Order: sequence, then structure tokens, then C-alpha cells
Amino acid sequence: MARNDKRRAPPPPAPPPPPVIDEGARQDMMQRDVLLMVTAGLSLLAGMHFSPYFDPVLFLVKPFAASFFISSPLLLLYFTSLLISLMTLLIGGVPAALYERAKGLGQSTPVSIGIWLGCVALIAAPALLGLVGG
Amino acid sequence: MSASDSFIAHWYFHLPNMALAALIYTLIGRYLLSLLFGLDSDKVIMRVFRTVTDPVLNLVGFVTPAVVPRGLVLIFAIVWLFFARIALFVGFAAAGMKPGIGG
Repeated sequence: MARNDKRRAPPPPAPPPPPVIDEGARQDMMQRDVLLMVTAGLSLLAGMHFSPYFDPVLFLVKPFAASFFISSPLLLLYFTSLLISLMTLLIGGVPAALYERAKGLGQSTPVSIGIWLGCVALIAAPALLGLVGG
Repeated sequence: MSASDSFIAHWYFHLPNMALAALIYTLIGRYLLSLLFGLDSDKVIMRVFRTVTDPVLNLVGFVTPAVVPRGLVLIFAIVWLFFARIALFVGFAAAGMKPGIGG
């Protein structure tokens, strides 16, 4: 009887405890990601050719494009579009960043990214109207 | 008026314009070097580039949301400076002080 007990297999190890998921943090992260994607999308729209910013910026960028070795007209069009998109993103981010500094936040929150999105939407509104109006 | 004469006559435009251009190229240089040596490299050349460009990056970081990583702030700084050069040119042109090589 004692020999049978010795041959018995050891009990399986206890399963590890399930990871603790902070639902609030996960929801915040999801919200931030979605808001950031919409913000980036709107800034890209602001730089499209139907945007009312496009022609004036193209005219202004032309003398400076040579310093970046941009000589082809097609490249200049792409560069202008990229510059308008980036500037929309950067200018729209200023109020959000100031909000974060005023609140003393170490990282962005859905509220601050919402401010960013709102400002970018405001800047991109003429381009959106241009898209709708044809 | 030659190009050098124009530079002397319109120094109030050319000096800040050159300083902004130099900062842009320094930031591009820092970005390219960071690809080779890493962002936190202790090499002398990286320390020099960091000393020159860190004030600009801190300023741009102040007006950039915290979600943007440090490497991207460097690219944002280049775009801000490029925008500043255009704004400088437009400002002087609007004031009727647009410089030209021909005078």
C-alpha cells in the first residue's frame, strides 16, 4: 500500500493567477488610440489638394523648397500637402499641450487628446467644407 | 546690388533666416546621427548636437502633447522652424521690406 502511494504522480502545479486588468486604463488607452487616429485623419484631409490652404502655401513654400533639394513640381505638391498636414497637427496640438501643462499631467489623457482633435477639426473645417462642396 | 551687398543691406532679415536654417540643418544632423549612435549616445558629436538643439526641443516639447514620443518631437521641431522661416519671410514682405538679391 505504501509502495503504491510512492508511485502516485505529484499533483499538478496551481495555475498562475489571472493578470489584473485595469479596465479604466484599458478604456482610456482605447479612447486615446481612436481619438489619435481621427486627429491624424483630419490633419491629412486638411493637406489635400481641395483644401483652401493648399494654393497659398504652395506659393509660399516654393522659394524655400530648394533648401530641401526639392526641384520636381510633383515633389513640391507632395511636400506642400505634407507640410499643411503637419502644421495642422502641430498648431492643433498647442492648446492640448498647454492644457496638459496647466493640469500638471505627465501623460496625455482622453480629454487632452479630445482638445487636440477639436482644434484640428476646427483648422480642417474649411478643407472638409471644400470636400463636401466639391 | 550684388548678393553680398544685399546681405549687408538686409541683415535684419538674413541673420534670423540663416539662424533658423542652421537650426533646421542641425536638427536634421542630430536625427541622422541618432540613427547611427542611438538617441542617448555619449559620443562627443552627439553631446555637441544635443547642447545646440536641446533648447529648441524643450520649447517644442512644451507645446506638443505628451503622447508624442521624443523622437517625433525632433521632426516636429524641424517643421516648426520651417514654418517660422516662411512666417519671417511673409512678415517682412507684408511690411514692405522684402529683400531680394537684386536689391
